[in-house]
Amino acid sequence: MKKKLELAFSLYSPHLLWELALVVQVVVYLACSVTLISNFVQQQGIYRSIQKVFTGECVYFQPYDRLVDLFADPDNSSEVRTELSDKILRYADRIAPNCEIGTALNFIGEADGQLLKAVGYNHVMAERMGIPDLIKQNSDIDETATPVLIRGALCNRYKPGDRFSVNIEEEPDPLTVVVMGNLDENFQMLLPSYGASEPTIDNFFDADIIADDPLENANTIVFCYTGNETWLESLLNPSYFIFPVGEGVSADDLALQDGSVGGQFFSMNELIDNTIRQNIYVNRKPLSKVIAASIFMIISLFGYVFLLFIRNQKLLGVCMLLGMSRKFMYAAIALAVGICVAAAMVLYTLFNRTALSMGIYFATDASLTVMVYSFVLVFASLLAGALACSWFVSQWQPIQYMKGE
Amino acid sequence: MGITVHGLTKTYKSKKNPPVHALRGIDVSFPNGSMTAIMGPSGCGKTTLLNLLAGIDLPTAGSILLDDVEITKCSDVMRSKIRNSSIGYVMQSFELIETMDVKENLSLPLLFSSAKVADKRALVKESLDRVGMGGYEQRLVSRLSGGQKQRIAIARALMMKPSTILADEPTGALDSQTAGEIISLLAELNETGRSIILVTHDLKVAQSCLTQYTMIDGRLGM
Repeated sequence: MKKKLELAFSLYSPHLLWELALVVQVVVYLACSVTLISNFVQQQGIYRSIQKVFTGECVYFQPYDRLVDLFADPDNSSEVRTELSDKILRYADRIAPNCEIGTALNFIGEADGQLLKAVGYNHVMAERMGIPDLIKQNSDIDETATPVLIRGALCNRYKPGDRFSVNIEEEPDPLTVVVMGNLDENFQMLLPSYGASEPTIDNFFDADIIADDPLENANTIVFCYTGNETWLESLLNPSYFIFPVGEGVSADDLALQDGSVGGQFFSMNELIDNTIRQNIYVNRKPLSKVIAASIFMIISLFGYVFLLFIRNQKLLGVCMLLGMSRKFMYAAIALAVGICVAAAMVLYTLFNRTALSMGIYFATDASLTVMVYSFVLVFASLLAGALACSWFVSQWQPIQYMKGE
Repeated sequence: MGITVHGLTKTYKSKKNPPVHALRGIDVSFPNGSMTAIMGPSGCGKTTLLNLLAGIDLPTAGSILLDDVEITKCSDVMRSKIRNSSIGYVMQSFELIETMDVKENLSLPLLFSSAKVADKRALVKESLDRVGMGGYEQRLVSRLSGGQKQRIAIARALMMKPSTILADEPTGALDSQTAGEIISLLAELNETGRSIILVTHDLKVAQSCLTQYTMIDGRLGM
């Protein structure tokens, strides 16, 4: 093996530029094919992917951001989550341009040793729930504390204008709130479905959640957020509500009458999934382009093996005279190409920006199936090249080449 | 012993053209320690004969025995081993790798040898000294003259200490003085017990060999 490697490397030395070009080419190929195939398989499922490939109706999708996975990963920092949240809103805007996007989130807090439930709405939701004016007006007055409405035992302890601190789960700094009033006892809280419920089958908000308010009489604070509050960053895990154009609802005509605030509801994951699907659907690529790229690559690799052979005819011819068997020669050529592919893979792993930024290495970036798919393509190309070499060699006599006969 | 050839025939078949009979039933033997010249016009089959003797190609019919081993029945791997260990090949155009230095060129046969060489550097030096090129280890082949290149080619052929040296027009690309030196060198090697089989157009070169054959249309005659 050592000697074969030695010969394999000596096939390279005089024409390094060719090899560099090939390495770049293979890197591009690997990057494209792995991403494209990975996305396709993720979207379609392995069985459907194979089925579609054979039925010819297959489309490949553009790179997939994997927001769902990233959001679900508790190890991701609040910065990443905030960034992703912004991205989701942008996607949502694409799904329903000019629509209003309502968001709601909830978390468990603690004030004076008592647990409380905190529910936050953005201004879109707040307006639709009839709680906007109170908070919005007063928030203009006191910027040092978050204005809240309170319910439950909190009402006995705090009056409007009182301030108190709320410890939020694992956040180191407490949230200072100022009481703006009590929640009406009949006020039906709209809770985000996150952790509480699933959307109904038609994706409209389920009336049961509102009718069966689990927070009735419990310690609760309700606030309205603008989305700029830094303390919210670590809590960003809201549900999204999209209100289509023309479905304007006044505060007096809240959809609560029929148990719904109207609009189309998405859980966060669902929203991400839908936006991504919409995005990739718009940007889908026909399979033919991928096939074309693969064929290009196959021909390139095929040609490269041939090139490697022809370019080194003299060296190989001399080696044959000196006692190299054809088997040895095939092995050396295969090794030479293998070295090139390996170098390409290393480069791909090192310089794949997505992999680096997300801290995901090549091995986890694609499923095993995807990797197998890609490498089968690459090595099928090499095999084809080797077979072509084999045929060529069978027609080739080194001495005739040298003498020009 | 040495090389014994029986009924050696080589025919190149072509779909479009009529078959070319490069060798037509050659019977000849090259005893150990002999120095033989094969003369003949271009295309008469001289190189084909050397190819077959070296085990690079296989005959259409006939056999070649190299020290009792019938190389025509050996596998490609086996023939390659025999070529590596028992046969040195010298060519008209030297066939050295220009991008390598002398030492690297001489080391090439070792790549294909299963024998372990304890001191490659010493072996290279020994071969170079043998052809009068000691001290040229680090020189790039492209910087050498024609005569020097042929000496290096001979040194490379000697690396595995072969019993037979096949030389295909070894002086064809050299001036007469240098050609004389190369022939003298081959004669010296012959005196050490190696068989030399050389193919040449040059009558003067052929006359320096004890045995001479002439080849015409694939047939060998004295």
